[in-house]
Amino acid sequence: MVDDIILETRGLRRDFGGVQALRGVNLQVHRTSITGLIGPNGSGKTTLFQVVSGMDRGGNGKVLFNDQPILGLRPWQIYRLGLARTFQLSRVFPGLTVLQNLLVAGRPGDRGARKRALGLIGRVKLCEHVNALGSELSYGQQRLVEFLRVLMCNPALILLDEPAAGVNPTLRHILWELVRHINGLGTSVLIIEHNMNVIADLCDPVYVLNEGEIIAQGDFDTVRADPRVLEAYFGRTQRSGGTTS
Amino acid sequence: MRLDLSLGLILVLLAALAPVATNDYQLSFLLQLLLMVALAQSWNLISGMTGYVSFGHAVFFGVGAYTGALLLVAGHSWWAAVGWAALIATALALPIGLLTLRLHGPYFAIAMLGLNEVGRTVATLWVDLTEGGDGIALSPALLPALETNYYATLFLAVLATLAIGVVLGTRFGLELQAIREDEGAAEMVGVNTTRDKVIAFAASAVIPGAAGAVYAYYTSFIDPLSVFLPALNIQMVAMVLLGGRGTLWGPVIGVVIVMSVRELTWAEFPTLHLALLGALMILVILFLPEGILSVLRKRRGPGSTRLAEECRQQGE
Amino acid sequence: MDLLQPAILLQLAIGGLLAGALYALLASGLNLVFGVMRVINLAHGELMIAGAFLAWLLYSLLGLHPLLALPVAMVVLYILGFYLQRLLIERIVGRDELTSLLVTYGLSIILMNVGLLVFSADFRAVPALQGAVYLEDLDLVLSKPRAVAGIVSIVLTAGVYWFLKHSRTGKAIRAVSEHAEVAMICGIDVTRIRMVTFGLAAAMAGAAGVMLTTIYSFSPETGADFVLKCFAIIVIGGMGNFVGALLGGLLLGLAEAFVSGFLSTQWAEAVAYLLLVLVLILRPAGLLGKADAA
Repeated sequence: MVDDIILETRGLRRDFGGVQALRGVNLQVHRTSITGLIGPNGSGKTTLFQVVSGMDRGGNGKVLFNDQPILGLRPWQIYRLGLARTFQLSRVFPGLTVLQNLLVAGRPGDRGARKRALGLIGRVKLCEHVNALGSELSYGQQRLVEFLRVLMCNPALILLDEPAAGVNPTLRHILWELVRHINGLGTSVLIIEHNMNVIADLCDPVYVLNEGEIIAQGDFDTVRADPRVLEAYFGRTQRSGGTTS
Repeated sequence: MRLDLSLGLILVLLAALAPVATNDYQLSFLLQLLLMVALAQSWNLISGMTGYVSFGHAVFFGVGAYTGALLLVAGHSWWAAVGWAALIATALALPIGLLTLRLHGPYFAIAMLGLNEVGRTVATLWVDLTEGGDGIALSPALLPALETNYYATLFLAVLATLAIGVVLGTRFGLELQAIREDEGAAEMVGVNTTRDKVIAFAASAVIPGAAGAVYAYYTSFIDPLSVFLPALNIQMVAMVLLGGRGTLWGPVIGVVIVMSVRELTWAEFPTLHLALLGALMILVILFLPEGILSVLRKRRGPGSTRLAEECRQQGE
Repeated sequence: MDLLQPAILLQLAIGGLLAGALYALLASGLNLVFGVMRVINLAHGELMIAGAFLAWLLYSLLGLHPLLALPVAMVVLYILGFYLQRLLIERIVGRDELTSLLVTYGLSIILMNVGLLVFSADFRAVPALQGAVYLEDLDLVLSKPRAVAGIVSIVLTAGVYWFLKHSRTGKAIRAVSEHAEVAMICGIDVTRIRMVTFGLAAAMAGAAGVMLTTIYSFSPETGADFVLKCFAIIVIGGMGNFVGALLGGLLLGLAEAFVSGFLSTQWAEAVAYLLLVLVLILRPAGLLGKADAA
């Protein structure tokens, strides 16, 4: 079973001067799964991404990617190992063209990078924007480009931080299709998402993070029925149902 | 790309023929212009491309000037001394870059602010080596002719511009620009930002080092204040910002503007020239942050539609 | 002469602290501006020199004593700062720090070179306070101008601190410094507060300039050296931290006094820079590191 796990955190902690953002998180992402990560605002989801991706180098504990410890590696090293992430707010390079945004994220020396980039841009129907600057795109388009960008290295695992937030329904549909598509090609996905319909639709298993701890895990229905989860969300923004995916 | 190349070739040809058609005064002016191109393009390589603003780049010019002068006096040929000047400046830039480029952009800029002053202080205090404030006068017998200095400067200007052109077309250049746009995101898509910045910084010291040596031969006298020159820092920043940072021709346009302003005001009010540059800098940053070149340049080249077509085919 | 005699050490320490007080006055203004609007003002040293030349003009034209020129310079610099903020600095509030660096760099170039154009690069001084006092009990010689400049600087810095702590406007300034949006919602005219802040900082720089005339000779180019010292101070003391700037200033004054006492004055000039680079490198994220976690 161990081989089946692509990412594992063991007792992962992160303290911000007395505030414990992560208090011993144990989480496993199975190869080729789409694993969901939910939890109330401020529960530590993004911090977890920051630590796992190497952006935040203050974490303690163990993070294994393909059985290799990666805590302490620089973000670019982690990326080149095949673990990519997107940001909660779009961080497309505003002064580079769409094509350049993708090319810079390809593996060095990859001769097929240009073809691959154009293929990805074509797939999400952004062809007429291929030479547009990042800053000239709509917010939703920027998010798509940011997502395409990390596909350039053919990652084994992608961490998506609320990829559909602020994206219009049409583009959102393209986005979720793309997630399914790359997952079908064998890429594992760990995704932070607030829309419970999407979680129910896409993710198995689901982890629930609350105040820096995993309080529940399992398939969506199990997690939803868990009293601790209800308690964690009680009185906060309860978003299940209502919104469309 | 082809347009850039032909434009560049024409300019170089004109510059190469200039000694035939000019007097010494005019050739001197052209030499200074080309010197500025060489310096501006070097500054462009680190600060224009990565956004790490070096307020102290004149230090490499000063170190090069002293290296070139001292080695010439010690009996080396002028071209070997120029080579050593480039090498020593680069060797100095490497540790400085390794230390300071770990700082975030604004902190790097502040750390570089005093570097030129440190260079000048060392040159003043290390009397045994540099003759201190008295400076070094080079005997005319040792010095290359004005034409030789001119061609050496032309070579450096072409080299620096060519370097920008080449870098802009490569993945390395793309990485440098990504660092300027968003360093965290660049690192997150596999860019080894530290390595790139240090390489760009060290490379950006090569030509100022060599140019400093050629400048020493051109003026035949150097002292700490004339080569660790604060005005040079201001001019490098101004030239690249005015023209357009991170572009191939922006710095060249910037040089022409700065040198014109200088020519118009220099004779009577040398300081007015710098005050005007300061004002121009503020105006450009506020109203044309991409530089004057951005007004002239069309965003989408003619290749745009072809690229979109290629993209559609790939997307099938 | 044995440099390690207690009397000489004390002499150096007192001299250093007095010089440090002047640095502190200058640096806390710079830090105030940074705290309120996240603008690194590279032209702060030139504002100080503006105050210095004002004092020099008043002295050489009207024979006005620097201590009397002090309030005049502060008012003039306050007005200058107020309108500089309105016309220029306000445009770069909220832009990235590099933009503010480049714009204030341009401003400092303009001020310095206009100064050179008008006053030339000659060094000047105001020989108003002169002489020394010998304190017999402590076996200590105190230079009169240094003592006066140091004490005036301490009083002014403390005064501004009190103003920030207790006055209504001071509280508004601190509110904007901590949370500009919240302050705006609470009905504070943030734009006006920024103008007052920049005016205040300019007045402090001007005051430092006036006191400078009595102890150092200066030229339009002197400001650049001082602004570098200010950065060393606020990086040591914490950017945006008013009390930190005070401590950093005193520390730098002490360090310089001892280096010039034991080595040479020229090396003392390099101390600030070395301290600056050292602190920056030992804390590579800068003292703003926490802002990056967001």
